Amino acid sequence: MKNPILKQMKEGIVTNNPTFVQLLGMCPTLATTTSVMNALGMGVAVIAVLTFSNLFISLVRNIIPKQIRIASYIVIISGFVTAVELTIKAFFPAIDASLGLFIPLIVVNCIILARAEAFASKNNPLMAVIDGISTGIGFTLALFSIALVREILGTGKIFAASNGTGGVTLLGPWYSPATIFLLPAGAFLTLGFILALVQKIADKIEEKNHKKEVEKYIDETFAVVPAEGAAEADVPVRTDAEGGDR
Amino acid sequence: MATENENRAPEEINGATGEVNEEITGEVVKKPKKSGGGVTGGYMVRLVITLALVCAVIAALLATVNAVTKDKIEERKLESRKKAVFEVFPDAADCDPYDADGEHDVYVVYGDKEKKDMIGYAVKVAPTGFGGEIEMMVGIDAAGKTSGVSVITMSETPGVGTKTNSETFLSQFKGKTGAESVGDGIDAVTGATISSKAITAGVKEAHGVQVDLEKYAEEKGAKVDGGATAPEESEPAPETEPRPVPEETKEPQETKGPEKEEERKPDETKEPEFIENGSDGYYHNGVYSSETDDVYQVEVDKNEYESLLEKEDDPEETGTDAETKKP
Repeated sequence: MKNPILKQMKEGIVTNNPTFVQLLGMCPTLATTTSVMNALGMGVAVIAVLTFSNLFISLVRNIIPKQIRIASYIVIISGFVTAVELTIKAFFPAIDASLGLFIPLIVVNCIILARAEAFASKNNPLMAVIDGISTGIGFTLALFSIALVREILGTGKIFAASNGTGGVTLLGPWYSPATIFLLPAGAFLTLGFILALVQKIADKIEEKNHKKEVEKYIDETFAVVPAEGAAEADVPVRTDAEGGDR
Repeated sequence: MATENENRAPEEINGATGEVNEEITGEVVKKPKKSGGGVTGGYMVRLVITLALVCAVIAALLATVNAVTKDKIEERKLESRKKAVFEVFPDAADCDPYDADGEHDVYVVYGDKEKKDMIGYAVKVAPTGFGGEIEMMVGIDAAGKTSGVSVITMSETPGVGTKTNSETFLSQFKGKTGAESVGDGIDAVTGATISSKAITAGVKEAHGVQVDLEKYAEEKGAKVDGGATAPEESEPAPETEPRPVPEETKEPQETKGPEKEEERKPDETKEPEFIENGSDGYYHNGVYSSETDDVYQVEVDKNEYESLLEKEDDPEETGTDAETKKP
């Protein structure tokens, strides 16, 4: 993780996942995850918007006075969202049919504005693009995992097209679909359980890392006496950084 | 209100300090002022210019994207409309947009590529269902009967309301006059009453749109419905229209007099009036005929049906007909 690009990718996809860690952009998360295809369509649209808006905002970050930065960001973001919407309308009518309403709503998706304000306006274009792509992928993966659960439990099928046709039947005729998973209530339930699971895994990893750190600290402290000062200053900071993200 | 105040504030400040020129030409002059957060005239101009530039760049980008995608989007739109029209008219070959009332998208449907045979028209309606508007296409043939119903988009509850978008539900409308309602000719989908009612209302709305196929066909040099029955079918329709109103006023008085057997017959003569009102005559016909005559049990088309009516009713009811026409 020495490479800043890889570090940034891990940051966007795992450590600072926009959905599971930052809990941003909940509205599209809950609304578009009724099927895997919808979730992927939404994810790809967000990746495109996020990447381009991050790049553009990073390019003009030194020109825009701070009083009008939010206004400028909104103009830039809505511009790219409209561009993506037109493109989808022209070339992917199937996605347009199922996500029609949610594409324009990307404008007010707080992930985009959050990344613009917190990252793109303070970093160079390359890192901003990396951040946009990785945050977008993190968002897409989160949507994908929620949609996977909802679609399988809700319809017994997977990868069905937006109008409910096609798809691979995973659960046979013996399974009577639990429609609640396609309803808003199911979205909240699924999100809650997945969040709990992610949190559990994160805690496990953190615990493990902490143990390692402590062992390392003990080894260093008691083996080499002169290193004590350096280790003492170092270790707490590192553990803080691991845990402080949440 | 707020913007007025904001606009006024810098002027007052400038007027008070008398430093208008300096502020505009000078760099960022920050002074603790009563309002405006220390933003001076020159800086203000810079803000406006920057924001305008950002907007201009984005507008240019959008113009480019729009130019590239515009034709494609139009094409897709027309394609999907045509697809929806062809879905409700299985034997359609082509269709033309028709200007009905400025509110509804109406398409005249042709049975041949040369656009000579008009077989009916399709109306796009958007009744409000449980989860918003249901965009649907309703096909109406030259005889004024529903030829098919198809849903273009719906945001009904998945797995519940969306069940109304099925062959079993939508095929119920076929061959009917748009007068039926849920419980009266149409069976709602279990658990999706609101969606079912919305679609039924949409079909009714489509039938309410005034489309003068005959006139349009004359203008276009086409004829309505290539079939032999078509001209006859469309002609009796206007005739039935003036008739029903007096009938309706007369009949309730008459039905009180005769016996039960005859009570039903005036009901049968009511049928044209149902058609005119946009309600279902054939459904009633089926019900009543099952008690009186087997012939009526068959779902006949309007043309046949009217000739049957004349045969059956004329000997007995000429008197009532004549009476009803007088007032």
